[in-house]
Amino acid sequence: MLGPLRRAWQRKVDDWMRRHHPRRAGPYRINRRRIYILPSRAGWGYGAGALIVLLAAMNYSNSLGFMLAFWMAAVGFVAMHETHANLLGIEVRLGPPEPVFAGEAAHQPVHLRNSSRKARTALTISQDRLAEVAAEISDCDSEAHLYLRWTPQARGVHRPPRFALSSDWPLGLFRAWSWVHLAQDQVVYPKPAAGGGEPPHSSHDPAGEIGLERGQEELAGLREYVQGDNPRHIHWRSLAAHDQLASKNFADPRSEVVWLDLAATPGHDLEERLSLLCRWVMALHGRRQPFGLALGATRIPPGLGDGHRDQCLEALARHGQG
Amino acid sequence: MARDNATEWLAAPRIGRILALLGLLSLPHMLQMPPWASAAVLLIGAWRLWIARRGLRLPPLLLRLLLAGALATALALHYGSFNGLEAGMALLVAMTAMKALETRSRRDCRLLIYLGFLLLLGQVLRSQDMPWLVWMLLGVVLNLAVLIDLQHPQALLPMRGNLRRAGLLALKAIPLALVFFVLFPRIPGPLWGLPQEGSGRTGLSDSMEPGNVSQLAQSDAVAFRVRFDGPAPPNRELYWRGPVLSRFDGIRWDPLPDEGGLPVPALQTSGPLIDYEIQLEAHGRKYLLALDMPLAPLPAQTYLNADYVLKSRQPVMDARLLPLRASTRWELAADAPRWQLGNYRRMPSGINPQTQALAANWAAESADSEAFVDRVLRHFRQQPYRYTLEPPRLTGRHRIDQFLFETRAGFCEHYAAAFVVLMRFVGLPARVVTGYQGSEPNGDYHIVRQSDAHAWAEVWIEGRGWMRVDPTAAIAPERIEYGLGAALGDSALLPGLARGYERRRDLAARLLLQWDRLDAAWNRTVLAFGPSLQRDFLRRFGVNELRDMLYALVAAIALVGLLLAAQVTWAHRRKPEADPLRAIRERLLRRAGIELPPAQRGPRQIEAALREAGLWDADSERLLAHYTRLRYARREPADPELLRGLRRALRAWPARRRPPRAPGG
Repeated sequence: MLGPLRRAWQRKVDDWMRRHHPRRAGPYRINRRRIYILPSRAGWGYGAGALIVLLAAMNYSNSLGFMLAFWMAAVGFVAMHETHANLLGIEVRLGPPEPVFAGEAAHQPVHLRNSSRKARTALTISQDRLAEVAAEISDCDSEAHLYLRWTPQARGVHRPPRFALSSDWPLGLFRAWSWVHLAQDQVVYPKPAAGGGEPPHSSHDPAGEIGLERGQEELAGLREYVQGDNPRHIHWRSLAAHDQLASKNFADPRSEVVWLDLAATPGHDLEERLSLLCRWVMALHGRRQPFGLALGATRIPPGLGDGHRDQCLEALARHGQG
Repeated sequence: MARDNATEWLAAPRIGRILALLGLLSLPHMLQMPPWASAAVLLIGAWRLWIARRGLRLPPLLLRLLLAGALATALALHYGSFNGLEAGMALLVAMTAMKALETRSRRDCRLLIYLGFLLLLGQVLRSQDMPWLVWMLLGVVLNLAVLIDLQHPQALLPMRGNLRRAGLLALKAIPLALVFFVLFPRIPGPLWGLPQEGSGRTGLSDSMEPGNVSQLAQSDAVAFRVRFDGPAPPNRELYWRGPVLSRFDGIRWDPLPDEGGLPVPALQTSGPLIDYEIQLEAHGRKYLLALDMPLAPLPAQTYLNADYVLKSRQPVMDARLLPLRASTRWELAADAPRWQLGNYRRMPSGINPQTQALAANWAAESADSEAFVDRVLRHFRQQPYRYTLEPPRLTGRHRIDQFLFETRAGFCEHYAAAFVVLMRFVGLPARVVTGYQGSEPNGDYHIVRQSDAHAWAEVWIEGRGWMRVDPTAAIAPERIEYGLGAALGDSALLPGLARGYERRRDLAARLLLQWDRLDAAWNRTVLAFGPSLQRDFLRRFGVNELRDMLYALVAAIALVGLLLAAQVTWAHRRKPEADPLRAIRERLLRRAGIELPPAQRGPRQIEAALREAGLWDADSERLLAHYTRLRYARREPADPELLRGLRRALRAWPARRRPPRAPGG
């Protein structure tokens, strides 16, 4: 019976939130008007304690008892200001996140900057329900970094959910929070299909062109050096530039180039096909087999390596989304 | 026993801190509790610490319940009930220990600290002496320090930092606490069940048996303090009237019930009016003390009963200030009809036959009532009666006989009782009055101690009314003139401060009297700050009504809030810029009133912004060039001489578009 009511209430709250806390692009500075503060459960308990002391003092007309009660109340009042001040003036920015597969936890980097003289203590971030702490840091003198963990369910380009930066320092009697709703793209790859067989062996270019473009016969790309690679294939220049051994990847025109084509991929719907493609991309990449990807008009020429894989996965993620 | 994950957060040092705190706060209570209970509490605390040290599991619920039940039952048996303060505190201490035994989460720890506040409350309910204020301040800061410790997500913080933070927090709270103390509307009286009359306090009791006044007189505790508006009357006139005892059962003297319906008798006074203020210590009873005889106007919530005793409507559970008026020359109930005096002539029959015979003899010799009274006093004076704090014990049925004819040694209550009995045997209405006699000046006030407790008699004489007769004055006149110390000499039973203020002028005594002055000020200003004092105090500032009081309270809270916000703003000042060049750049931008995003504050962008603001001229160009040269000089740190020059140039820079014409030109 309460279900519809609760849903209606939730809708109201969501509307209100959308109106008052729209997503912002730039860094978010927590000013006085953006902080909410309420007593925590512990705070209500403390209040009850102070009330007991007050009643006892009244009953026994005990002046020191009154002092204790009033002092407890005043400490609560000061603690409220301190909790509020612990959040005030912090600047929140979001860093670029690592792409994830759908259904996996994404870790959104959150950068906090405190340019005031007052050191901040015990800040936490949490989603929706304030009680659940997602991440916390103990001290923030000037900069602090933490991660907002969330799980996008569908592929595509998503934005991290609204979250609260909150604090109940120093006494835990009050909880102050500010809703942070910032724009930052999170690329979510399709979830790799669980089954669906091996990638096709077709080297047929769906557009009917020759598999490899001119000039790529010799060098198709770079990949990480693996022990046993021909030393003549080591790409020394990247060692100098990136401090990391890379092998030149020669796309042998005679070795099989696989073309992954969305149109030729089995599956009930688009998402299923993309999932399967995702699985194949990962499989071919693992096998070091060069492959190309054709998603309708988007065509990624055959290649190898992490960069190529990421490019393909991102194309899968973004396919059909603006 | 297996390790318990839940207790891991609550490692030994953390619970150790909490246990140490609670142990300290329980200490004054444990000293009052029966030793077995204190030992049990300490054992439970040690057990909890051991569990934490060894990382063991907490004892199972059933065991904890059994233990808690056993402790509570044992305490209930020991105290009879949990009604009194002592029993309640003992229960609180025991249950705090039991809570510690099941403490595993942050929430449990918090609850323990909240219990710590209640332990502090218990102590100040027991005694409000000044040292306990210090104890309370200390206890609150310690409580807050441990609360802060719990709040930090990391491992234990150094206790010193916690104490500093807690101290600062508590300090910041003091102004608001004082505001509350002064402005929070006080309501008189207890909220629930009247506290038991006379529970565990020292003071005159409502009844008298031979022996209790002399016992009281062995204490030098302060009974009350007096401040006279004019000069103080001489000591021999300072009879502080307390309970009047008229009912006699052969051993014990009791007051007549107030509900008897007898009218308050008429009082005529002559001589000067004495205005004074009594600062009464809590004694837990309803009678008040007033200089013989009290006059209107009476303080609020007080009344005079048929025996002319000033009484409070509620037991005196806290120190009270009583503005009073008195006259020491009086005539009470001179025209009382005889039927109203029956209560004062009643005697249990068949006891003290020798006394009865003696009274009959003297009555036959005496011409009138007054001559009879004189005869009795002469007897006390002439016969070898002794005035002593430790008279032989009186036993048996005929105690007055025993005292008058055998032991002949007693304290004031013996003489007063014997005198009243003698009067009543010849049909003269008489009664025992208990109270205090004398005082000791200290600065601008007088101290009356328990050792000044006294008992005297009143006898009703036709045509004159009630007349005060103090048989002690007949036996030991120096008692009335100079106090107990003078009357008894250096009796070992007399506590130091009761030995007569004229005799001791040593340093310790003087220090104690200084302390008493402080204590008196404390009592007068802080402890007595109740509904009436609050009303009087606030009236001086034009705050008369409850509504005004609430307005003032809200305004004061708002003011404190503003001050706190200002303090926050001050604490949140920008960090000083470590890079001097960047600081100069920021100052330049501020003075020009230009806002640029942090990543776009290069020289070229600044130049563009200055142009846009209409501030681009030769001065600013030179300034910016100077800055740019230093910025890209690739010399770390920048040449101090050049930096100084740049700062100077910046100070000289007008940062404003020049007005087209010079003002006034």
